[in-house]
Amino acid sequence: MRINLGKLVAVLVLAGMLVAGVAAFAAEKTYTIYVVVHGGIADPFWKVCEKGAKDAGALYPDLKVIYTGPAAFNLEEFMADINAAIASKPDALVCTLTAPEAMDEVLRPAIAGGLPVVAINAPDLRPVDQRIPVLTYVGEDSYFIGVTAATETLKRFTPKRAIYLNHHPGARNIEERGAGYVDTMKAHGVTAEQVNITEDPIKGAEIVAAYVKAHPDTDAIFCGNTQRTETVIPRLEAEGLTVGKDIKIAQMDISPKILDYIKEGKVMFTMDQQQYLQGYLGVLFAYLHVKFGFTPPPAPVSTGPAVITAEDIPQLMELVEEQYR
Amino acid sequence: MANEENARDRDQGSLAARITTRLRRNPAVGVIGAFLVLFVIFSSLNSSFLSVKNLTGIFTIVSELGIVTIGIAFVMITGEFDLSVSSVYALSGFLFVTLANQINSLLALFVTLAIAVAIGFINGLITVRVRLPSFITTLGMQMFIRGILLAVTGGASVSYHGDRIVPAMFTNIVGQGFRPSHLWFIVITVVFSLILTRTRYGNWVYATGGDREVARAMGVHVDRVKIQNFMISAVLAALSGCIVLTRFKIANAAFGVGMELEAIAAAVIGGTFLTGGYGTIIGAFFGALIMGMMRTGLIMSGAPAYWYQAFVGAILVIAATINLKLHRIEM
Amino acid sequence: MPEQPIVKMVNISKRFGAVQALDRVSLDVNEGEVLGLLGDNGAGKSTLIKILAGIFPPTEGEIYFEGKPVRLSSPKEARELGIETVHQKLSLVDIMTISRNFFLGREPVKKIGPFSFLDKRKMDEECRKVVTQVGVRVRDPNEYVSILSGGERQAISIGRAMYFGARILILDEPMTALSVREQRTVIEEVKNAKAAGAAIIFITHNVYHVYPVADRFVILDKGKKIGEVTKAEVTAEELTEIVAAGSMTGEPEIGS
Repeated sequence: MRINLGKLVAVLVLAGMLVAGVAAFAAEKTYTIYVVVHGGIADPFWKVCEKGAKDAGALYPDLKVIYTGPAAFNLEEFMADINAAIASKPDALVCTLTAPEAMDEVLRPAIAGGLPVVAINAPDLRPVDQRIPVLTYVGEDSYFIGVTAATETLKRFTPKRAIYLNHHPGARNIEERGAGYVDTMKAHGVTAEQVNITEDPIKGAEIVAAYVKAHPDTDAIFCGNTQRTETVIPRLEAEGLTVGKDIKIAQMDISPKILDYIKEGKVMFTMDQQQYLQGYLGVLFAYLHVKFGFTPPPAPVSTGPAVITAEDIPQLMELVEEQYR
Repeated sequence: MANEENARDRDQGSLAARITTRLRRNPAVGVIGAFLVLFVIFSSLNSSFLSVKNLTGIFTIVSELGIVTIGIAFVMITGEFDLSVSSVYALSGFLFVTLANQINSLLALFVTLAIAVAIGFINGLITVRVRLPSFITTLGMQMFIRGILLAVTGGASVSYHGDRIVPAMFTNIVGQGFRPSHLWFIVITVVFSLILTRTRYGNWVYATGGDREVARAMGVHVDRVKIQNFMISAVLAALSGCIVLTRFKIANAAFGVGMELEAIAAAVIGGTFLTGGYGTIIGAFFGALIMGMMRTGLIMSGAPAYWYQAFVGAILVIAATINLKLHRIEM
Repeated sequence: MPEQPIVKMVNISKRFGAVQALDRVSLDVNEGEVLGLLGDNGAGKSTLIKILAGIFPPTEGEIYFEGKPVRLSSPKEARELGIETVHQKLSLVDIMTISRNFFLGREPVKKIGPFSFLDKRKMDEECRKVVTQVGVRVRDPNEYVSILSGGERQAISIGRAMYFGARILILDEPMTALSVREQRTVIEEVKNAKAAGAAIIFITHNVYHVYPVADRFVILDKGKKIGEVTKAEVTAEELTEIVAAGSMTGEPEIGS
């Protein structure tokens, strides 16, 4: 045999290690709840949600929570993850409804087949009778968040031109936030529009800089994602703008950097959709329903927005470090 | 003298030895083995893996990736790259839905595929006439198409409101999750495998990739072969883009990002060489099976979500090494 | 010897921009004859046979095939007349099997309904026949070309050309980088081709490669034909001197 025996052994050992590695992660059978989010799960925002879900899982010894999603937002991967979760025949599924029309085909038969599904973070915003029949929805009311952002901004000053930075082009709920913001601004006579800043933080920052250069009267921004603001602010400063004076930012969600920005006055305020609660309550409602048959509160179980300003920061900083907020 | 030798060889080659030689020689043997190993591992880690529903679900993803992989394998065997498949995939979904929302879906499909063929033709023409490396041509095309798509859609999704003809042709579920797209993938695999291994054209494809100058000296129209293969890869990517659209019922400019590398990985895992001239469509079939199966298998095994990329990367390197070693033994 | 040469090249000139690669070179070859085309590197040998192979046309001059004037506007036309070239580097694809290589560009097909498929059985059979005739020991024509030695590849390439009915066989530096034993394999096959009636043009800059098997020699230098002799008229050593010096007298010439 001309096949090198040594090499064959090496390959078999490697394969064996691969099996051992994966086997270590193999699931056990208790109450298994899959939490599938559209992510990307590497985004610090989602890490907080993950902590909420995992903390709820730790409450009960017979509850196992498996949290998953694409590393960077990608609809096909997310759908594949949903399919895989359903195929594992879990006791319940907690998931975001980031693309309801695409998810119809997969979720409806699963729900009809008896799988309890709790929606979190991103709701199905179609007319009520067309929505996917989930147990309940825990999360933000997207449009209202946009309205709140605009109202809070207007409380502080009247902008000449306001823009909403859409970091998830194609996601309904993200667009809804923008719609709430733009509609409210326009109703107050302010020129307003949504700007697509793509999924890429670096490219997105360039797009914002270019827009502001093209429209120097832009003085209000509403950004829906902390990571993105963290790249946008330095980019605008590199253009020579004083963020906080020439251009004021309303923010969504919390991160340590955003809190710093609020302290420095660069961001006016932020709104917390309390994604920890989304993961936590999502898992809790699902578990209690599956184990005891309890019906959770009806949709939407609103987890926000809480408006955070400089005064609230001292007590928040530590919680943010620990990934609770 | 020749007869003596033949007789001697026949005695030396027992049935077992001849079968092993035949097996070893088949370029797809490495990837089929890898697939079986992975399949067994995943099945043993979660009994639900073997359920019909799960397997059909996996095969749906596999079919969509696999159709693109076959096209890219064709191009790679000719010694070129087609990085634009992911953009053609996304563009086709968008074109198809925009057209089908206005006109008959079958007509919309034809127009979309025709446009894809034209894109492939342009890729090929620039590569052979301007003598630009196809890596560059198709990379440029990829960015160009993706950019146009983003600009036109503004990032918003477009919903499908067309008739049910093409969706029925592609993705209507039958029974426990079987879809017509599965059949499309299998048929395309068989057809293109036959074209590659059993026709004159296939011989020219191998020769063009193996040594372009020799092929040219022997009278093969290498430029024509390359251009045609770019057209094939574009139309298959478009087909897959339309299939996925009928499944999700929405088109989005972000679809398929990174898919060109997945397809290349699947082709390489399936035994296609990056340098051209070597590879099989059956291998590409199994390469796509492995890539498509990985994610679901890992989730069902309970592996932490952050590990998928790492696993896929490891599998790619291991599989490619095995393929190379097997081939070296043969040559 | 038949009455007329199968191919006659008359007063062939070729210019590439300002460079005169060939200057009124005439050459003819007869069937069943080996013509050694000699000259140092850069003499114009390759250019001349490329014109004959249809790769590019001459700037001036005519070509006659079996007495009739022809214009070879493509390698395909040359091949159709039976003009085959064997280059060491350009004849076989390493990464393909011998059988596929053998029929590359000329694959036999069998029709099933409206579709044409490769006639694999015919390919393997014919290939095996020729390969054995050529004296190469190969168990299976589905082995890869890479298992063959340089000499075996050359011999198979020549055998292939003859199989496909070559009437004029152009061998472009066929002995380069071959061992002595491999050179013998090639010489044997050249003799077979000559016996089969092919007109053979054997190009080399090393006289000793071609002397054993040639009948006549044409010597080029700097694009001009400086001499034409039969084997009887000259020894290999004398020929080598002529090639090195660039003149028939063995003395280097200034101008022409």
